[in-house]
Amino acid sequence: MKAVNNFAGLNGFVWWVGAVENRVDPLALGRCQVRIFGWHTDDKSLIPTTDLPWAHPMNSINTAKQFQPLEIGDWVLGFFMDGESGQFPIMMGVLPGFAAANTTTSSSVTTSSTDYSSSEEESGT
Amino acid sequence: MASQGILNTRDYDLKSLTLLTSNGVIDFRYIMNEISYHEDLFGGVISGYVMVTESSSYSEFLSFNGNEFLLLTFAKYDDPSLTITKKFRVYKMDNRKLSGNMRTETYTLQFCSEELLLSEQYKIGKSYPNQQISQVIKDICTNHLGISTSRLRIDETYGNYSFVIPNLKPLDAINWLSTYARTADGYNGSTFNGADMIFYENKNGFNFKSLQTLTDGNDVVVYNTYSYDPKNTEQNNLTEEVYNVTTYEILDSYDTLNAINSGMFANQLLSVDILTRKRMTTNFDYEKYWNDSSTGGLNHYPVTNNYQNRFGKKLNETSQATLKLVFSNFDEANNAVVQANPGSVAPNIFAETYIPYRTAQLALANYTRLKISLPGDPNLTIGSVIKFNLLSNDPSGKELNLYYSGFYLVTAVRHMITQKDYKTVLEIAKESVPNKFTNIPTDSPIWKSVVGG
Repeated sequence: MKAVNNFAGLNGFVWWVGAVENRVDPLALGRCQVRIFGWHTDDKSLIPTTDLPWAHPMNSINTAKQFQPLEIGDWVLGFFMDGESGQFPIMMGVLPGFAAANTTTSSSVTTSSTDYSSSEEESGT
Repeated sequence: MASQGILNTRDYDLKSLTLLTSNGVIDFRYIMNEISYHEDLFGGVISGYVMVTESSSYSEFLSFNGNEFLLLTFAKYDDPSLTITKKFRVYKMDNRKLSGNMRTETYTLQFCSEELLLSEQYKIGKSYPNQQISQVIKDICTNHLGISTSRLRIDETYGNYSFVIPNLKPLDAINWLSTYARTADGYNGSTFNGADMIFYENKNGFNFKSLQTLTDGNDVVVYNTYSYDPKNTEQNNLTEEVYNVTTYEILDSYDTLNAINSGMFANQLLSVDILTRKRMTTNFDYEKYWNDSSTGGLNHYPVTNNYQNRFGKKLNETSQATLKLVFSNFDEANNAVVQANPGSVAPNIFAETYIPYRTAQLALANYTRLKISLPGDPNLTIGSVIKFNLLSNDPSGKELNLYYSGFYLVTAVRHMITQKDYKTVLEIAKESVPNKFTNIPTDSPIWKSVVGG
């Protein structure tokens, strides 16, 4: 009998990983525009960086007012406040790693990867 | 009254039932046992099946593999204008059985609109900045499903939104967008009364409409009046028979417990704007909604009376019965920093409007549901409104049932054709009643002693 539809926190925790494409937040809150893997296509003619939803940062409790700005290409892990609708992303933390780009093709499988660390210039005000 | 439906169960013309295969074309009209054609207001696209018995091993020699097309056309025998014609995609064979001398085979071919298979093959990852939801849905239909504009009937929605479609299949994306949509017609200048947009396919094409538009009591076009009367079984009057219901079944009647839990009478939304750190509480009140409604509903009276619980509250006054919590952006446009930086936040999604209303309206739309069988009528389609006259069980016998008679929205249509007959089975629903429910006699001794005590 318990209705969980449209009750944030009871609908499942939808987490994601994405790459920062714009870190210049006009509201100066530390928000970034993040291209989220599997949710936002890599094709920027379909979803330009400027159309990506602003991802809100979730700062550390101990240093809530002091945070290191993210860099273009940083991979971040986060979740959606609105669950599967995916319009309100929150960034929880950065995933350190190495930049890499390659394409592998076999007879029946084609894979490609994108180096987000050099994919976008900073934009915004 | 317009010429509708068939008089005799054989008065239909199955013009084509043709299967296109990679290895040839076959006419199934004379070997089919049964055809079922199904439209559903809440089910997306048209689907159905054809059951066949044959001894020519078509499935082997015509190389059936799930990539066939079926051309189906049927009409009223003497009125070719009353026709359904459509091309379907066959996607599955099941119920396959050998019989007799093991050379006769019976099987069922399941079919659906080609758009369903297309939709399953693709996903949309695309941004639509600052557009009406109706514009976005039109773009998906034309550019991602290849539906011609002549087959689209899309009602305009209110407000502009910025959405990023999160890699959804086209039909899933449309249904997802529908949940946010508010009908332009539902705005009365100060409040919205409609967040009940639905996307469906019927015999005329693909439609995106609000339930309120379909059931507007001030502007409704009644397709036909049908009656159920036990004398139908005598079949003395064939002219009456065409407008008569041969069987009926009540699928859903009042269910107060379910209505409370679904938020139909009352629900509450807590919305939180994390950017401006503001919270808002929005209550849905069925009685206020009913009184504010400009359409008046199909049958002019609400589905409840003035009953109050032991704490003096009516069903529409206990909004916490169904509590919802969402993160929204209702106040961002009022923030001074945001105003100084245009475009720095997404447009308001108006969660406070669409969630409470849609929750109640979709539950309300199906509050009373009936299934009725009629002589076949290829003109009957979902989204139509019919009048159903159900005689009261009162032995005096000529009065209509006070609550189950009235105007209904056709929510599902199944045309069933066999070699012998053609019938149409409807699912119909209504959100109101033609006669007012009696109010509680709170001053009567029995109520005072039993309920009040």
